[in-house]
Amino acid sequence: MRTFALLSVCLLAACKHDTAAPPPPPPAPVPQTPAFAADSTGVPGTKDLVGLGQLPPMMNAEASHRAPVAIPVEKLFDALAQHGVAVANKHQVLARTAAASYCMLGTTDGTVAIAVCEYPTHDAALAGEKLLDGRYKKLVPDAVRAINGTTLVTVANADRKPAVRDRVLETFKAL
Amino acid sequence: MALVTALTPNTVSASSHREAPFITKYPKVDGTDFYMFNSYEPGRTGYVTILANYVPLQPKYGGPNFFSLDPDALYEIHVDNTGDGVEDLTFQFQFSQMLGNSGNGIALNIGGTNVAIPLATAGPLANINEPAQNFIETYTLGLVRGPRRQSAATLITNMTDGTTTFHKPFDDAGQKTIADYATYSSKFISNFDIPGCTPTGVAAGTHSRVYVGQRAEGFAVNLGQVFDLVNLSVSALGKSGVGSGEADLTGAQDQGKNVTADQNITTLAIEVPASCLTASATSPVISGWTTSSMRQARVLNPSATFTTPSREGGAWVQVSRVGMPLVNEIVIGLPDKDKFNGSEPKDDAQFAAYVTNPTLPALVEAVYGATGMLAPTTFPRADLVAAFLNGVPNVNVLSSTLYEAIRLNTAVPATAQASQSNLGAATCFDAPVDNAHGPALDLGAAGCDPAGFPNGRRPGDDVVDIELRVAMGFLLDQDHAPIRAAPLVDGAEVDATKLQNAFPYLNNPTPGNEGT
Repeated sequence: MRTFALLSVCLLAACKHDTAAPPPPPPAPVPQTPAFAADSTGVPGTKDLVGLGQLPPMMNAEASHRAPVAIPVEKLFDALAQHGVAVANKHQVLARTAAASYCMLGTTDGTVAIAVCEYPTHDAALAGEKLLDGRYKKLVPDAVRAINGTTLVTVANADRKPAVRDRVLETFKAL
Repeated sequence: MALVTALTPNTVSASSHREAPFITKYPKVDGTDFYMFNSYEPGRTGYVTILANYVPLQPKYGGPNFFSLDPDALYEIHVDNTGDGVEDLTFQFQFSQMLGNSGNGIALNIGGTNVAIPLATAGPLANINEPAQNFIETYTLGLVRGPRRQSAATLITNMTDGTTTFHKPFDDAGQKTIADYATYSSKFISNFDIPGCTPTGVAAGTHSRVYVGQRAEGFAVNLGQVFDLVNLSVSALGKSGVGSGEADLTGAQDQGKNVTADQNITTLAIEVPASCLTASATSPVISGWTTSSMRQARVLNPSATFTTPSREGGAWVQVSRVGMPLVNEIVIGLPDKDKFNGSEPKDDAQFAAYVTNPTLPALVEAVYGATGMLAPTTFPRADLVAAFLNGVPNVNVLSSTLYEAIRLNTAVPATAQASQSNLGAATCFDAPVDNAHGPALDLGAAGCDPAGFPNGRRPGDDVVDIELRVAMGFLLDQDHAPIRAAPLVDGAEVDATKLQNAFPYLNNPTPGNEGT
């Protein structure tokens, strides 16, 4: 109690200096919890955000469990390069969105999007195409898709560059 | 993959509420939402309403202590009318708590001994100063002109009783405690006049108003799915949404997905003449934000009492800051969230990269890229700088100084509640021909509602949907924002007509017990 009274006097003195008050004496060390430990209160905004934290391990898992396919995404991108379609900004994207095993996204000729997804079977690729066409029609209304074996290609934002889209799809189908 | 790993925190941050690590420890001073708009209640033309919400995500069953404000904190609403990011007027709220029975606490005679009751009320409440109220909150309202710490506040007089004390209603414990919360809480709306201001442009005989008390949460959001990267669907992460089924990213605005629908909030509300907030009649734009501050040091009392559980001292230290919605939630990076909460708008250049090179669109692309969608490709994002840091040209630009705040053109007539668009002023832009010229303001566009967000923010503005679309390139041209026209939604409804049409505009809280 004496300590409390003493510290209280110190604080009251500090109150006089609104902009330059000295900090209180450092407290005794206490066990530290991780700064951003998962919140266990169940308050929305914390536990409901688990999915965001799951994204990197999900994509890691997808990258390490790719289905053996005849046309992996790298093969298509290489073929496009040989046919004069340079694909930039190639990066992995979440395959589960398309019910696929593994997906990559790249761009060519500015902002023409080329999304390539690998599936374990041809039927799975057909199901993925149906899913994307149905659920995301309003998100990417001009998307054009094609399947070759167990690989699905989406070309989007190409309405003003149909020649680029055609070349991508022709190259893909020829593999 | 490296990009996503770099962008994603070890564990995730919070929602619009509880948005920064440090503030989660202090919910009483956690600012959640800030609204500032031209009053649309009939008969209140010429007034500006400002709402600052604190104490997030209150469950309706909050007893026995419910949700008081911190008597050791300083809650402030700032208005800058010169555009330098420094407040020109600050309204300061400071709260006091006392026990009923003249500070002794209500007691019962138990076998000849008076024993203090453990509850905050000892019977029904219907008025201010009810004898049955065992936990009482009051507050003072002060006004500072100029920088907030350079002069003392002038205490404002409560016109109800001529004192400088204002009363806060008890939270809605349930219908047995407060049978008619609407009538009860309305008695706590007090009139006042702003010292040193003779208002113009308002109806004769009207006055400024203030209310502080519990309200129903007005911020509708599909928290889990939004922050799981924008309505991430079951197929993607195996999570189900609120209500039946999953949210549709491009579906109806109302999909029954509002996870805060039965939550409450504590609102600090003022309504003051626009003419008392603006710099002059020819400079009608103002900017505003809210902050809370705590004393720099706290010593816990090992023999705590009701009046002195701890001792506070030292300078005021700002711990929460809210202006534009969702800025510290989805724009500012996790390492800087607490710094942002402690910062002042005049120093916002330090956060510029979060706006010019935002992470959210890249995260959305990481999730939805398999569909062929692309995030905006132009950097720096001048469109976001205008939307968040500078205002819309010819509407609510106050100066060339970049800082984050709600900006309101008080000269734009308020839109009546029934005619408001929940997409606010976002409906007033035509697609830009190119980014160099930016979006074209078209006040004649179908459905244009220039009195809405981002020209101020009203309770009925669906800021989540608006900001999602803006983040994904709504204000950019098609070449640089391929999905700029996608009608992105979070599935949580915001509808002005379902909110009060009168001050303080947010609905009465969800009662703790709906049984009678």
